[in-house]
Amino acid sequence: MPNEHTPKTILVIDDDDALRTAMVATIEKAGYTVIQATNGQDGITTALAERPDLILLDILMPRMDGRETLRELRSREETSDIPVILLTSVSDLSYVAEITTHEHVDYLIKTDVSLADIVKKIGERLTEK
Amino acid sequence: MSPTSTQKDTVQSFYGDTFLTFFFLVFSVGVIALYVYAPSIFIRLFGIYPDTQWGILIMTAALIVAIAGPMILSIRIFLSAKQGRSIIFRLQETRDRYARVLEGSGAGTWERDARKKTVYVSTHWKTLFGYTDDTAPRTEDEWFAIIVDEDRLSAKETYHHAVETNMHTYKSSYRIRTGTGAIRYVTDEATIERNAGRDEIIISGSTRDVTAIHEAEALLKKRTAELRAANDRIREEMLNTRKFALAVSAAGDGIVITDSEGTLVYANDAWYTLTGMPNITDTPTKIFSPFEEHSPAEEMRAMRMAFRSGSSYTSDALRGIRAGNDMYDIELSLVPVTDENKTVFYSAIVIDATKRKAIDKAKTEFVSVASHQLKTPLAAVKWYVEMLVSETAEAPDKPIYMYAKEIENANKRMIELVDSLLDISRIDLGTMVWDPALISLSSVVSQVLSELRPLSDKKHLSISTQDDTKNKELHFDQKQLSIIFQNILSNAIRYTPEGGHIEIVLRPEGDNLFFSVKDNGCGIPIAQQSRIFGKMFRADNAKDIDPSGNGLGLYTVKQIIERVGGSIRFESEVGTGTTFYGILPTHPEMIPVTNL
Repeated sequence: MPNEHTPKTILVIDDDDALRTAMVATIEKAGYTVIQATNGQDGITTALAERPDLILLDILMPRMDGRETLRELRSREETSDIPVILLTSVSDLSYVAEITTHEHVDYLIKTDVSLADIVKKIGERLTEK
Repeated sequence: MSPTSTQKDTVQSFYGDTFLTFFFLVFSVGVIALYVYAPSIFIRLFGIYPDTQWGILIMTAALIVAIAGPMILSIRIFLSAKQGRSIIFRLQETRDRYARVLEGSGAGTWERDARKKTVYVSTHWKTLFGYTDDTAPRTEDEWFAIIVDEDRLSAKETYHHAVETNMHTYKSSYRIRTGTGAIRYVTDEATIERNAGRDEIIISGSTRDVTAIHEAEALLKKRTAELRAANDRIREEMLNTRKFALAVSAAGDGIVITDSEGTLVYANDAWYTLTGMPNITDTPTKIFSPFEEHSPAEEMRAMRMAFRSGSSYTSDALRGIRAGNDMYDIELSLVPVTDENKTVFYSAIVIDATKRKAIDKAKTEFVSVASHQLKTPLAAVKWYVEMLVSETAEAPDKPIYMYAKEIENANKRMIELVDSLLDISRIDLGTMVWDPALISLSSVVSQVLSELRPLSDKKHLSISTQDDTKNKELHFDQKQLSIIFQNILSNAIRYTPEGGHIEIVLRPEGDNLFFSVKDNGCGIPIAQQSRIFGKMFRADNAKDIDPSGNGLGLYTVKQIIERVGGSIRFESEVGTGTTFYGILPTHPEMIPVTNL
């Protein structure tokens, strides 16, 4: 569970409003501070400005997709250490597998997991850190 | 040939002389008798005695006439007899000569008297036609009687017409029955002689046996007809062959004939268009050649095996490249043509499947894209329902909570369906991830069983596992191995009634692993067993038991297993249960990638 005095900040980057809203509501309810972005570009800007404790990153997004965003985040000193959980609605495992072999990132398939699972995963990753 | 008119006159004068001779003979005898008995007779007759001047004169005159007449006549008769004999002889000689000539030519002579209705046939005639002196015809009626029934009337008509009119010769052909009962074709050639008063009509002729000629003619006619018919047939056959050859040659699909080794002996135009191969007469070509390089190795092996074992072979996985780097897909169907159990040649139809494969691929891709698109809204529904359920969980009796649970269930089924569709489209497109690792079959099966536990516990099923593969691992993709057992085991659980039993057997079998899953469930109706591995097929009784299945599971299972070179089959009886048997290679060579 997050520390009550210094709530951890979670950045949710997803272009789909419905999904993002659901995640934001649930994660906030779990006691985290949630900031959000609707595309990779905004996500990087927000991450640089806010330095979140964890980033939830959707893979399939217009303009800059999850893989590029991840590469960008890793390439910058300020954000290179922030743990990232990839979210995908496409269970395109080969694509995900390609990313996860190079990066230490977790991934969750949206239709396979519940919101509760996401919160649980966030907790696990933050504890690891 | 008959006597001429001159000969006829001679014969008549001969008969006239004979009459005169007879007359003179009687006259001479009378005169001599008179002379001997003269005195008394003379006295009695004339009243004078012969020694009177007149009496002596008359007597002397009578004596001279009585002696000289016969003498002159005798001389004349002698002369005319000499002459007559030579005529008769000549005639006889002529006849004999003709008869001999005719005999030599196989004809028998005869003579008929039209008025007396008599018939004379020569000895040779009798010999020719097997008659004896007793049986040979002697009358017209007997003559006509030997003619066969069918020909008799026309033979009679020809004869009577010739005789009654002024014909001098006639010819008639008919069949006769010989003395031995055989039937012969004969031809009569005859000459008719009539006297002035027409009270004498003599017909002389010859009968020739023309059976051999007739038979030869009939045979010739028959042979000619046969020849003509054969000619017609050959012409028709040639036309058909030509039509057939044209059809084959112009066919849109490649048609080839190979020898028993696979070397092409015929290829139609489409083959060349399709494969871009050089002409087989210039460059001996094997049927494998165009596909060798770009088709799956196991397809080429299977095709070669068909030639070795003399069996047929079909495949739609062959491909080749023609000029211009133009890749094409082929559907090939090869059939051995046997004669007396020996394979004489092979014929094959080679169909360009490029377009069909492209369409198939497009369809599969569409399913894939559509499924992907569906995933995001499905995830949204899933999560909002989750929130709804958690919000209303405090009052589980409220309808809104139950509604939310229903939506959750439906959403779950939709996600499963879309996942299955994605799996299939990946398999069909060959984009299924194949990330093999050394894994144990036992662990995968127990993992799947534990996932399914809630279902099996709910139905109080007893599940036994006999596992002899504990120390064996296989080099396989974890997810695909899970898909196989998820489908087979969830089917077993789903279609086995309350308190039923499921037996799982896992054991090594050479380089492979064998598995069987036996249930005592509803079974698969025989009529539907052949379709059970089909895409989106569900047996009727399965639909009754659980309407929610999507019919994609066993299709997926079979596709995965076959693409790694394994096999799966089942035995099933309605009401008794079903057993699936499978073989999985521990180190599959063939990886299901980019088949398209």
